[in-house]
Amino acid sequence: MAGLGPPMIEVTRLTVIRGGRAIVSVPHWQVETGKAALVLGPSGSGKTTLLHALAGLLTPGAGAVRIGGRDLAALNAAARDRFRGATIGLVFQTARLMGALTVSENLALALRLAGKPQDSARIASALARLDLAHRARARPQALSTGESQRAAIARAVIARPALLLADEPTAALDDAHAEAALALMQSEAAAYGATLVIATHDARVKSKIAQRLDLAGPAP
Amino acid sequence: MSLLGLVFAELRARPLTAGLHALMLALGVAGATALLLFSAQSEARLQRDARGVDLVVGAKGSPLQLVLSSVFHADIPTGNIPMQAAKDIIADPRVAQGVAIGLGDSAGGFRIVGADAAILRFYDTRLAAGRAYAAPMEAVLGAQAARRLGLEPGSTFKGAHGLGAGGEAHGETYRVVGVLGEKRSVVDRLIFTPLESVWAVHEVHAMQGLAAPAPVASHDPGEPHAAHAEDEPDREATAVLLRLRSPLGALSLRRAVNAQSALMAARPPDEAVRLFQLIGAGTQVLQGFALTLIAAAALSVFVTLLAALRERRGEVALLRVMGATRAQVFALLVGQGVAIAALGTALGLALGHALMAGLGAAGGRARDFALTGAWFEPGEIAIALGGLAAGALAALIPAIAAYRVDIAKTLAETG
Repeated sequence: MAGLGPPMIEVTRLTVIRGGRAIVSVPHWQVETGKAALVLGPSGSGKTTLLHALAGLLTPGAGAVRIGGRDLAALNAAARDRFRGATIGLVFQTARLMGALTVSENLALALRLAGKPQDSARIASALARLDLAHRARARPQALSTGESQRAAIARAVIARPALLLADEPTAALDDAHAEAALALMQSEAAAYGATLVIATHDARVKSKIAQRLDLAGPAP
Repeated sequence: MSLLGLVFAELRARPLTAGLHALMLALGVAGATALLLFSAQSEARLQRDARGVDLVVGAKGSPLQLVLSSVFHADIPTGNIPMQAAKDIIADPRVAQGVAIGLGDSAGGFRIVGADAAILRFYDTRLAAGRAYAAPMEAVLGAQAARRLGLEPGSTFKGAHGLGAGGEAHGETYRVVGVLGEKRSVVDRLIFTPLESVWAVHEVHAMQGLAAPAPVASHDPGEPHAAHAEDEPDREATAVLLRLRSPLGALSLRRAVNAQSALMAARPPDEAVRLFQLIGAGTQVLQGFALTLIAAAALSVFVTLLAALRERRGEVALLRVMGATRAQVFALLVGQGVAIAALGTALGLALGHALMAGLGAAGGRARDFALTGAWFEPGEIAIALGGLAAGALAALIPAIAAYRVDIAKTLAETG
């Protein structure tokens, strides 16, 4: 799929300012559709902030972010929200599941907010692939750490987003779970041709993906 | 899973909190509903009971007391008037129909009304059994009185002094000759007999030395009999019920009667309004209490939603990450407030009707005025909308706070 259209991510002269100082500065960075990339850097280097900018969760002080050729700044707030729901899936360091909903309901809500039809077969299939079929009716509080993170990945990919962003997805996991989560995200992204970007400073992840953006962090 | 589904899921996840808020609101709504139903049923009853009576003439005193005693049969009379004066008023050309009544006795708690048989036409009654009375000591009973006393044509009963239950029994026996069909008005609770019966009963008592007016134990000193032969040589009546040819005639006749020193005329609708003004003050206090309960419930919903939002702002941010717009998040919070309010309001309306049904069941045995839960008032729609608005209002500030959530900052804070 690479090279057939605009890059999935194109960041140009991006600067995110917080509290009067630049948190992130990226002169230019792009990731082709269907590829995987890492955003690396020490704590406080702005990895999460960059991911938020890619997801349209914050407005850059300067520069542009284009996702699939769409300039996020050109969209109004509601359109940006809908675009995010339909195009981007996010995985966080912690699972962040909706506590009032069961695992399958969390996935159904993600489908709804992405503007996709309710599809119980797709939900069942996603849960089965991630070895969560038996936990479909469980509430998040009843899940183990590994199950929670798998459920979060299932929620992020259920609407088959074009871009999957993961923010330190393995930081809270042991080696086995970290490897499994990473493999799951890679396989799910590959299955749907999604672009995968992982922000991490986890050494266990660095060797798995070749393309990377190193953030040096703010000047002292 | 729609946003509405999420609203209910959030409530299901906290059933005790949601249930308590709904119950608190329900108590306020139930109070407001019950008071509305009580007022409406009371007003309807007064209107039904006063229907067809344009003017009441009786002895000077309180007009409200005159109407209460002679039309609604709920108070003691103001006194008696000379029968000749009653006849003169009935003969007035402005009067379309008139009937003199004599009060003072009762049977089993049901009032005995002495009057010409024309009163049965005056009240537009129909006989369900038997015939109209034609001689003294014959009686025609309203449907409820007959049912409660277990009387039918051919039965006999004894009257008692006084207008309530427990009066001293007369020795004379009334014979039931007819029972009226159900009118759903005060007529159902009355016992009609010729005015002569009332006079005869008290003449016998006077001759037997039994009817000393004031000291008779069961005879309230404030309850004058229609006639006390020992007191006055002429016959007396308690009041005259009048239907006038025109409203203008009613006004002029009332003025003319009230100009006399011994007589007084009163319009039942005016006195009903006065009565409601008196009752209204108490009702307003209770309404205020019910509204305070609703406001307190709304306040507790507000506090809970605000606290829940602070606890779960990470989830709000997550919803935005997943694609929910600000408007959807706002609607979600308002929806939670409205859902709690809807539950409380529905429960409150049901409780209000159940309360009236309960009061009706309890009061039906003890009193003549039976309340019912099977009565719907348009004002209940306003109560329901008020309940829902209280919930929406309570959720407004939390919803605005959710609308303004800074996603990136909140995600960082709630890591």
